[in-house]
Amino acid sequence: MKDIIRLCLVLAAVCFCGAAALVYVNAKTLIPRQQAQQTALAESLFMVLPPETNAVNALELPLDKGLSFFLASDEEGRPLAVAGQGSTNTGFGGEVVVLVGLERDGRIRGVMVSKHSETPGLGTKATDRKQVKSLWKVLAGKEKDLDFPPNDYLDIYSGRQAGSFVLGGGSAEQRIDGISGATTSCQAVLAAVNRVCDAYNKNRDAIWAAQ
Amino acid sequence: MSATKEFLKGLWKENPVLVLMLGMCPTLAVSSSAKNALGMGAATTFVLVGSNVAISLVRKVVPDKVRIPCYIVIIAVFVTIVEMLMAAYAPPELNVTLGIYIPLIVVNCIVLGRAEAFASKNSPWLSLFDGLGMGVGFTLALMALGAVREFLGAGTIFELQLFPKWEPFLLMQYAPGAFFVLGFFLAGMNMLRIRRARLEGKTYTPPSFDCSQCNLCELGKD
Repeated sequence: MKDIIRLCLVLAAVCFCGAAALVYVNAKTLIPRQQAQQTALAESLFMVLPPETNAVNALELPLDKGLSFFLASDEEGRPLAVAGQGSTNTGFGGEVVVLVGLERDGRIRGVMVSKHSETPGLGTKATDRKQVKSLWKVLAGKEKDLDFPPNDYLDIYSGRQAGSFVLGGGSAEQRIDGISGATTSCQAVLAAVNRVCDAYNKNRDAIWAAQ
Repeated sequence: MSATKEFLKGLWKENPVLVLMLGMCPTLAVSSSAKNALGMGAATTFVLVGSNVAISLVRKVVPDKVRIPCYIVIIAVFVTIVEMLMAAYAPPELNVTLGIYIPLIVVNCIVLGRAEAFASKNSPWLSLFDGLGMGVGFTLALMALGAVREFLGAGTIFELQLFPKWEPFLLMQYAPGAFFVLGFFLAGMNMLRIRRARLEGKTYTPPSFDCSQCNLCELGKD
């Protein structure tokens, strides 16, 4: 009996020390973690919005959970483009968050996946924008960083009219072809993009009127 | 001198991946590119060093019967710290690719294996070097695998293209490719050891991967 109490006490003490250490690190990294998240969002927004963008404002609209819109304006405060953020939980690794840049006429500027937990090497083919640099060009100093690296799947959306897309089917305007080995991830991205497009089409006037 | 020995053994003689055959899950999963391998290796090394030192410090206080739960708690604490530090300071793209594998370090056999086989019997100073050596050995093995797989699968190394018109050998990017490349690595490792044994005039007996013959840990002796 005495033994059991001793074992419990030791285990409890170890857990307590561990918890204390975590509380300390959590408090110390709270602000840097939030900053890192905000920087990541700002960088992704910059990628899907036009280069003339001067200021980006988050819009307050009565939308479903996981949906938000950002309005980009130029130096004189005129609205330039809109970025919609939408999430879905149907990814292979759970949540997938996309950012969709939309032009004034409702065409898609570009799609970015800002958060996901897809399998590296498989699902990430449908989510990651990656620039392939040549080793020799980098050594020679000739390689330039692209503002918007390509992705075979995400680039299909660019220039399309915001609507309801269908993976591998539907009419010519709706059809989006997936990537083999990443079907679930493609579907998740598509679902999130569709949510954003749907919300955009329903709230178009409110979004552009917001200043 | 002894600390150097403890550090160096993890690199080659007792390399966790290629000799001890520990931590196969992250090895196969994250070695799809050299960059992922480096990130995963660095995170694992941090956890290994931290948990080795902490476990070595409490080794005389913790009773034998509850040592495994205590080790797991300590390892989990360090993994959570790594997760928070990475979310705060690591480049976002690394976070995105490694995100789901970081929590899995808790159950990485290398970390628990070193805790049980080394840290629970040696001083914190030696445990630190053991953890560091094992971590670096793990990182190097993972990077070697990752570089080969990335080169064959995409024609790049560290995301830098070597040849402009490389026909990608896609299989290497998938799980079966990891098994193939690891198999060749292990065969090469055995070949080197057989040759060395022959030069020294001994006969080489390949290690048997049977839990009952392994002296690495004492998990089976309770």
